[in-house]
Amino acid sequence: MENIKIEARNLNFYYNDHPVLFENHLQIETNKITAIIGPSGCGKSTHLRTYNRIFELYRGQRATGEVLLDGKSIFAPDVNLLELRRKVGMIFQKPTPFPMSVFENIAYPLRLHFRLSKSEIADRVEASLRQASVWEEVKDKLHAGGTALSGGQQQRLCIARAIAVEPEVLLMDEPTSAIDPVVTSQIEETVSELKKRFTIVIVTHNMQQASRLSDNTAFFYKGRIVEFGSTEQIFTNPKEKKTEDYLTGRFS
Amino acid sequence: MRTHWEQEMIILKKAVAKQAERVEWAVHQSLNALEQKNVNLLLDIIGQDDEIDREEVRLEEECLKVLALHQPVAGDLRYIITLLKVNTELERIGDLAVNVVERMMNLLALRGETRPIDMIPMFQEVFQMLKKALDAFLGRDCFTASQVVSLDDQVDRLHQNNYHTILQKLKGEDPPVEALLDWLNISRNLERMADCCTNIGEDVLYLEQGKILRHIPAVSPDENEQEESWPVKEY
Repeated sequence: MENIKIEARNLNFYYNDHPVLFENHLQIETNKITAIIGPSGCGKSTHLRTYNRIFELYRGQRATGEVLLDGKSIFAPDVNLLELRRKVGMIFQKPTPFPMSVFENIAYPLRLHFRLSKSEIADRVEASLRQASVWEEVKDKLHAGGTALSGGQQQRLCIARAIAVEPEVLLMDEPTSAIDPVVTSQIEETVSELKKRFTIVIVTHNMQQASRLSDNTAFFYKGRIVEFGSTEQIFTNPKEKKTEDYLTGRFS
Repeated sequence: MRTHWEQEMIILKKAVAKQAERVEWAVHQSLNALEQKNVNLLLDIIGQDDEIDREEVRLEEECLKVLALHQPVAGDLRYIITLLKVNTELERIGDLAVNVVERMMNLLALRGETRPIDMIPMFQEVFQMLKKALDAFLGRDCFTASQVVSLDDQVDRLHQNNYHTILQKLKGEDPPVEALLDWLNISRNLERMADCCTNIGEDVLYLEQGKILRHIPAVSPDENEQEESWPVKEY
């Protein structure tokens, strides 16, 4: 299908020999926000981490099945991982600014991926910070340390860093769980804006965030996708009893 | 389990059941008053309506509080939304019962007995619909809710018959115009009560099935014909 950006087909995942994902099938629509919800330990983050093969950085972790990006398998041996991770950016639960200045946090990956002049880099840094809705707050401290910013600013700096390299997909693993409600709201606004340019997949424990923000929602339970559908349908009229029980807090 | 939510739900369910009881009482007593020509009973029904109005506001406030504090989703969300809508319908039925009672008082004040039509069967039909609608809501029973929805056509037909009968009498020689218009008004208010019961039935179907079934066109060609022949006049 033309509007499918990422597709997981018969995806299984193992920590050493211990299986944690079972035959996951999921289609992520282009320029839509897809939320992945489910109880702790159900495999949400593990599933997300297959989309840019970041799990390969850890020993003993392996996936079987397929993940297709624009119809092409990302598990193929000839895939350029640097290019894959440029296309599929990732934002983590805790902000992960590099131990360098605000400016360098964004300029560094730009230099890694592109040949740009100093002025082009400066323009891209500003544009990315603006898109991440943090420019006004950091424009006077571009050369101060990135780690000296507040938690919310650090997270938006990480978003700016991810989008600076012109990705196609943004993976967000509980990006606001360590952030207060005001900044959460700012980040949600930013994410909604980013949807126009990127396909976004967000793992969240916050049901209201999933319902406010996403177009589609997948409910995971014990490594399986129990239900996937439009967020409106999932939150008003879920088809599966397990989904209903989870959403309404009746999980035993 | 969410203890706070369960507790809120128990309180809300009790409150809406009590409100349903009040409304059912008002409609039932207006039927009794019609049969007995009992003015005191009519005054009691009017007095009870203030309580129904106050309770409607209180129930709505409770639902809004629950929405704000618990932010329910899925079946819980549908339940609160349905409760809000049923609450409004109950209050309307209470108001319509008062309209009926006021017309009855007017009729009792008029000289001479004028009963151009037997309103009791329509009254009983509407009362049965109300009982079924409330049973369907309180018991979350789709089967009974569907029955309520299908009963509405019968009440519409009864009202249509009343309209034609009264119209004929109005065209006759020296008709008791005021009394006839009061009876027509009673018939109209009963028909509206049936509409409210139908709404409750549809709300229950939404609650249980998650589908909004209102305004789905009638399928029977006979019914369409009937609609077209229906006079446009409103009283």
